[in-house]
Formats: sequence, structure tokens, C-alpha cells
Amino acid sequence: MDRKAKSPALLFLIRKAAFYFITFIVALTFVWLIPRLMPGDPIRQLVLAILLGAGVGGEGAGGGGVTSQFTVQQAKLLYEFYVKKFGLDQPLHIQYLLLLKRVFTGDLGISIMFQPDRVVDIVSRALPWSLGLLIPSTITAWVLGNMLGAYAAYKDGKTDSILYSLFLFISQMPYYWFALVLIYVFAIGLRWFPAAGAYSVGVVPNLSWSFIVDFLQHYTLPFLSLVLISLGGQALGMRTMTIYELNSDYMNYSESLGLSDRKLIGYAFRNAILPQITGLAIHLGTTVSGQIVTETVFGYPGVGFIMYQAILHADYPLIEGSFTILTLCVLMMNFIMDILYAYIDPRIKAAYAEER
Amino acid sequence: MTGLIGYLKVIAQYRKLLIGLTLLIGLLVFSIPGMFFYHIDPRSLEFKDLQPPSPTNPLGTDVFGRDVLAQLIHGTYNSFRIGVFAGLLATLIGILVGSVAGYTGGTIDEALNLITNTFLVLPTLALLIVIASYIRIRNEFVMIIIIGSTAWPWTARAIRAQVYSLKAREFVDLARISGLPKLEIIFLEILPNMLSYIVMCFTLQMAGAILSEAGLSAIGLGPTALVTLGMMLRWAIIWEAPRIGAWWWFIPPGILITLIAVSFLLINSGLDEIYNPRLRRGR
Repeated sequence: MDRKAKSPALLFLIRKAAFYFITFIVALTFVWLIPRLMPGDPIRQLVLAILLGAGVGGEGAGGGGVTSQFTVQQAKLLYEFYVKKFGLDQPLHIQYLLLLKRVFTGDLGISIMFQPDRVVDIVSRALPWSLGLLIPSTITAWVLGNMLGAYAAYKDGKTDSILYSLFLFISQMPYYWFALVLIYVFAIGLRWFPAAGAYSVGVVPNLSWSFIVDFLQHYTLPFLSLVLISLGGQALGMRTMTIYELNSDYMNYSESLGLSDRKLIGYAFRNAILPQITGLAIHLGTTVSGQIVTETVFGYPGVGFIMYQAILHADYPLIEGSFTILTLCVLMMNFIMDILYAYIDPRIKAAYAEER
Repeated sequence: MTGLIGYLKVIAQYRKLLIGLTLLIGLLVFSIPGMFFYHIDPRSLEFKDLQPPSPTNPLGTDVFGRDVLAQLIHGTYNSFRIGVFAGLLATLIGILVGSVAGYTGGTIDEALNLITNTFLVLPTLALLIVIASYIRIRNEFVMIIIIGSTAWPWTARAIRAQVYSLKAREFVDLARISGLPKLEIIFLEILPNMLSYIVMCFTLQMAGAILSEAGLSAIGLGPTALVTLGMMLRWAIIWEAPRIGAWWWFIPPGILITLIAVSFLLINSGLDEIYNPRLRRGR
């Protein structure tokens, strides 16, 4: 009896977990496939990148200056070393399995620009900064966005038009452009906040008050830029959902029964918020994309900034490692959202109970 | 002629659609005829660097002494082109995947659905970064292909849902009974009936593609030798335009990108109001 009551939600979660696992494998397949589909010889580029410190950004950023010390002989040795290291002398399917094996044992290779640091370590060091920015800003944007969206839908008329235009405009701003504007106004113009970094230069992160104040000062602008732009999208979605609910038959009926406005908006809100939870999960990928660029603009030491530096230095292991770990995080967060959703929405349980 | 006037009358009734179209046309007029009336080459380095707006350079110059207005005009046009074609590619792939999945059902549907959902949860820009980092010379064509081929899942999902509901209608049953081949039913019977919906998907894809181009450009993976709004921002970020105080250099491209995306979105929700009366409210 007990088992029967529990299992529909469980079944839902098992299916979801299987789906995310497949998705992760697909992501890894891309990491494997893309270099092999591209024209040119990535290993050659890799060796060149190590020797020259050249960038793929096309702007010739990066070090240089070590060229002359390397002979053709050494380049050849390096080339052969990498061919062996990536198992490129093996048949294709073995190469693929090798990659999977490496990833699942936590080996993402060694970074070129931060040699001899392992990619896993570099990205893990950056990850807390990214998550510390991503999670609070997403939650803040979601809560505020839903409240404002529902408010606009409820108010109707002029308030709605103004809010709608505002939401629309801010939701379509490129994240990093808004970041530039914030830097211009608040960091350069008013000098309220620092323009870059996560803490002042020369400070070692610790748990003292002065560091926390310093950290929060650096945190404000990136946080604000992420909140405001996600907020626009969330508010637009919630507004549409609430209008749908307010115009529905059950609303008209409840209204004719003489229910108070407060109660009506309460019902509408509860029904409209459900799809917004799925919306939050779906938009997570987009938010992470925005964050990569925002971190770059602010020089915030998260995974996005690491990825940016890796691009400039043609550090392919680091680019791919960052992608892999970012994807893993997004998938795990999606799964957490699913657990939450299965808990909140009774229809999920019902749907899976019927299917059985 | 009366048909055209009829259309215009309908459009005039829907404020969002009207504003969206006006904005879009305004932006197109700014960029395309602009190129013929404003003769300065966006890549010419003939001016003094970092000049604020003046009669010779109405929007000043950037750090290399290039005219900002000329870059905006050409950049808008190039961003538009990438947006339109990448959006078109994404919409076409989305239609193909979505309609085949929705109409066929069964295992094929489940497989295509799985692929679609997989792409939906992946962080797209991160994937684009991995792809673009391997391509050293990125021209317009490359940008269109990589943006278009990663943006289709939203459309596929939406189209699938629509096809799924349309396929239960009588006219589809009729087509099936009269022995039309599957592909013909999908492309000649079902899809024409959801043309408005497809156009709406297309507008969203164009807005998304323009923002994607801007995002990729911002981190140094934009087109290598093309002036786009995203590449303008790229240079502004590298040379720290806000710190120099060169507002005329980094503010306008962002506003233009936003306005392009907003115009497409307004057109989208305007069309939504026309086809979806539940969304209409006191006009």
C-alpha cells in the first residue's frame, strides 16, 4: 500500500534522472565529436598554441615570447605525446569510450595556460563564485519577476502597458551590455561600486568583516545586472499566464459567485505560478549563457571568465572541461527543480499513476 | 488593393503588432538606405580616435578612429542578416523535427523528442563556444550555421505540439483516407494550416539569433572580419569603453540590439493576440 502511494513520483524522478544522464552523455559526445568534425588538425593547433601562446579570438591576445626556444624536434615530440595522450592512435570507438572513461573518473585533462594544473581543479575553484552569483540572482529574479508580472496582469490598463513595455525592453537587453552601462554609471560615474573582480586586488579571501564588505561591494553590480535581465523574462511569462487564468471560465464563475478580489487573484496566482516553475528550469540554460558573458565583462572569477580566458589562449582542454562541468551543474539543478515540481504539482503524480 | 487595405486595418487594430512593425521598418530604413546616404566606411581609420559626437562624426569615433555611426549602420544590417538567416535555418530544422515527431508519433516521436529536450537543457552559449573555438576564420556563413543549428529545439517543441493537435482534425483524416503519402500530409495539409504559428516561431528565432550573435561576439567568437553590433560591443569591452567614458561608443549598439529583438517580440505577441483571442484585453 505504502509503495503504491509513493511510486508514481518516484517513477517520474527515475525517468528524469535517466534523461539527464543521457543528456550528459550527449554533451560529452559533442565534446568528442566537434574537434573531429572540424577542418584542420586540433592537435597541431594545440601544439602551436602551447608553443606560441596564440589565441583563437583572432586578436592575437596572450603571451608569446617563448617561440625561439622550441625546435621542430620538440614540436614533433609534443605532437606525438598529445596524439598518444588523447588516444588518437586508437580506433574511433575506443577513443570515444576512453573519453567517457576519463570524464567519469573525473579526469578532464590538463590546462594549457595554467600548466600543470588539472582542468577539474581550475574549474572547481571557479565554480563556487559562479554558483554564488547564479543561484541568488536567479531566485531573486524569479520571485520579483513573478510578483511584478502578476501585478501587471491584475492592474490592467495603463500600469500594465507601462510595465509590459519595461519588461519587454529589459528582457531583450544583452546581459553584458547592461553590465557595461552599470559599470559606466555606478562604478565609473558615481564611484559607488568597484568595476571588476570579486574582491580587491591583493586581498586574500577570508571570513573577516572587512572582506565580506569588500566582497559584497564587488558582488552588487554583477548581481544586479543578472537579476534585472532575468526578471524581465520571468515577469513577461507570469503576466501572460495570469491573464490566461484571469480570463478563464472558472474565474468568471468565481467572480459571479461574488468571491473577493483577493481570493480571485490568489487562485489565479497559484495556477499561473506552476508553469513558471518549469519555466525557471528551462531558462536555466539561457541564464547560464548570460552569466558566462557577464562574468567576462566584470572579470568575475567564475567558470564563465575561465572559459573566456581559455578561448583567448586556445586552451581547448579548459574550454571543454568548463563546458562539461557547467553542463553537469545545469543538469543537476534541473533535476532538483524536477524534484520540487513533483512535490508541488499533484498532477505529475496523477499522470504517472494513470500510466501504470 | 482592398486586400492590402484590409490587412492594414487589421494591423492598425493591434497596437503591439503596429509598434513592432513600425520599429522593425524604422531599423531597416536606418541601416539599408542609411548605407547609401552615409558614405563613411565603417572600417576606415581616417579619424582621430575617441572623439565625442561632433558634426563630422555624429556619434563620435572609437579607439581606432573609426566612425561609430557608420559602424552602427553597417552593423545593424549585418546583425539583421545573420539574425534572419540563422533564424530561418533554426525555424526550418525546428519545423522538420517537430512536424515529423508530432505526426508520426511512436518511437520516432520519442527519439526526436529526446533529442529536442536534450538540446533544450544544454547551456547553448557554452556549446556554441566549444564549436566556435575550433573555427579560426568565422565568416557570416559560419555564424549562421552554428547559431541556426543550435537554436532549433524551441521551435521543434512548439511545432510538435501544434502538429499533434492538428493531426486529429477531420481534414487530416480525409487526406489520410484518400491515401496521400505521409510527407505530403505534413507539408501540404498540416503545415499550411499553422503558417501563422510558424511565422511567430520565426520572429522569436530571429530575435534569439541576433542576441546569440551578440553574445558570441562579446567573448571573442564573433565573425572575424565583419562589422556587427555584437563585434562593436566586443571592441568596447576589450578597450574598456565605460572606463574611458566613451558612452557614444558602447551605448548605441546595445540599444540597437535591444530594439531589434524587441521589435520581433512585439510582432510575435501582436500576432499571438490576433490568433489567440484569450490574450486580448481592452484595446
